[in-house]
Amino acid sequence: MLRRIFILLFLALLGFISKAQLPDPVSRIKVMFLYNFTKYIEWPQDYKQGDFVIGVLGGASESLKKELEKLASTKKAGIQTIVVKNFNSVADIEKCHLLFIPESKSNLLDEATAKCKKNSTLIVTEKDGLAKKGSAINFVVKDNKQNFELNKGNIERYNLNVSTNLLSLAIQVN
Amino acid sequence: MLRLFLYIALIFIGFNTLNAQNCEKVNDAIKAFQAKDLEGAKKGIDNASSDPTCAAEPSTWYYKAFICKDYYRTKESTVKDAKSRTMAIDAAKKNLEIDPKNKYAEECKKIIGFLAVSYYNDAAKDLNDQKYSSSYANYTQYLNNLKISSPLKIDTTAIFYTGYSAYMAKNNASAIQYLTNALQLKYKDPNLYFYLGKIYWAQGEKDKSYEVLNNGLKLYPDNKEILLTMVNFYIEDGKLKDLETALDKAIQLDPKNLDLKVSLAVICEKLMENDKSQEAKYFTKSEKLYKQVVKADSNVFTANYNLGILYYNKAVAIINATDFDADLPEVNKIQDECVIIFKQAEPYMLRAYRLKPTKKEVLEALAGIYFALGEIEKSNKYKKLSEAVK
Repeated sequence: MLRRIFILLFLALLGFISKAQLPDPVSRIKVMFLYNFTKYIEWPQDYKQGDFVIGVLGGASESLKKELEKLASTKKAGIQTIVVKNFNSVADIEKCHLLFIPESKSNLLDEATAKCKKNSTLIVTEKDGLAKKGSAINFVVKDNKQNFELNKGNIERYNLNVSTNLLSLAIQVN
Repeated sequence: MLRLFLYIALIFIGFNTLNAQNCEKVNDAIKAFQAKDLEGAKKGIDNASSDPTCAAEPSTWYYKAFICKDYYRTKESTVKDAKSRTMAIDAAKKNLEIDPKNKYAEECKKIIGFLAVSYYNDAAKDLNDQKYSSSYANYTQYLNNLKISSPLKIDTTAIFYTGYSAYMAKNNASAIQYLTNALQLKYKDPNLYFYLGKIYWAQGEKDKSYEVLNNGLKLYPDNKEILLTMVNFYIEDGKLKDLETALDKAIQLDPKNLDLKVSLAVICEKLMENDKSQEAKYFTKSEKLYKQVVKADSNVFTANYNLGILYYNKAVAIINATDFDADLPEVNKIQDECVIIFKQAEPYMLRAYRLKPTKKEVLEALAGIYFALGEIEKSNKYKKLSEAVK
């Protein structure tokens, strides 16, 4: 009888395995970084009106998309409403404050920078070496943590000002 | 466990007590009996009891009871549902019913008592042979006849086993009747509470079930059957707090039982999800239990996997709980904290992987842990393995 009871118990509990939480935590950290960038970067006056547009080239991962949506629905960039736009191709890129280029679309960096040349767009990437190849800020992993490289020249090229606070926290790249 | 009664010695009633009767047919039966012609005696007494004149005599029924009892004892004691036994009891009862002077009352009660014991023996044998319907029927015969032969005697053991037989024969109404009676008579056996609790539960009477099982535990705090029955009911009922208490107790009784520890750890994880104010307490308890299991036996898959996920989820929860407004130094601090936790998850999940290398959940978890640690190559490796598993 005892054995039968044990079997019942095991069916109920021992078969239970925990579930990993979703979404992945890295996306949230990256969005926290992106939101911080909106505070430490100053856009020209004509960019301080209307919506604050965060563009994503080629579509974000599901996790990143969710986190960006959460950000847009709960926070503002200064007084501006945050709007997330997805650009399927470089040709679709519209005027935006921040353009995030996922790793899978890194090969489009040159085209994207060319497309944004006349705009004040902060280009953010996530592949090693891209801060030296045109992006303003590039996510990197250092000591198992998300960190970011910052190329001051690439920021200023787009008529953006970066605060010294952000510079002090970044891995600076020339 | 079951004590088997030996046949008691026959009630020695000498033939000198068999007196000549008014009814000749009875006299014929007695003569046949004295001549050791048992078949003739039985036939004769059957014939006499069918005669209206003889049937009116109380002594006829006494002699019938006596002869039938002897017939049963000699020829039918191993026959299932022997007619001679029923006839003997019925005749003895008839005598008791119609004998105004109670001349044969004591003798008839002794006959009933003797045959009651034979029912008890049959019941015990049936019980051992797991013939529960039959053991229930025989126990009830025993108890009913005992009331006549020894009205003051209460056999609580038999009452309990009658209830148990009824329970095993899926006759819940009778089982409750007899087991409750045994309970009222303060029968001392933890199984009484165990079975009664299970029957009430099966009947949907949960409160009564918990009450009985709790009373059983108060009397028998070390009884695993009662405890584990409660554990199962708490699981079924979703009473996690009660379940935690019951499992704590079970582990005290059986500290080397790793399955109980894994079970309690799982319950603590569920309690952690349900009651955020107790999150830290249940995290620590769950972590401690899983670690104890892994230390005792590093090959327990569930403990390794769940512990890995416990850490992973903790880190993710910390990150998810951080507001987007957190400034960069704060985000970095949180990352420092979480890297340590993700790294705590890694060895347990790797061990889970070694134990079950094609378990999709493990592969996904490893991909997740390495992704969180920024070790993308490793993450991709496990992601590919996971995708390859159907």
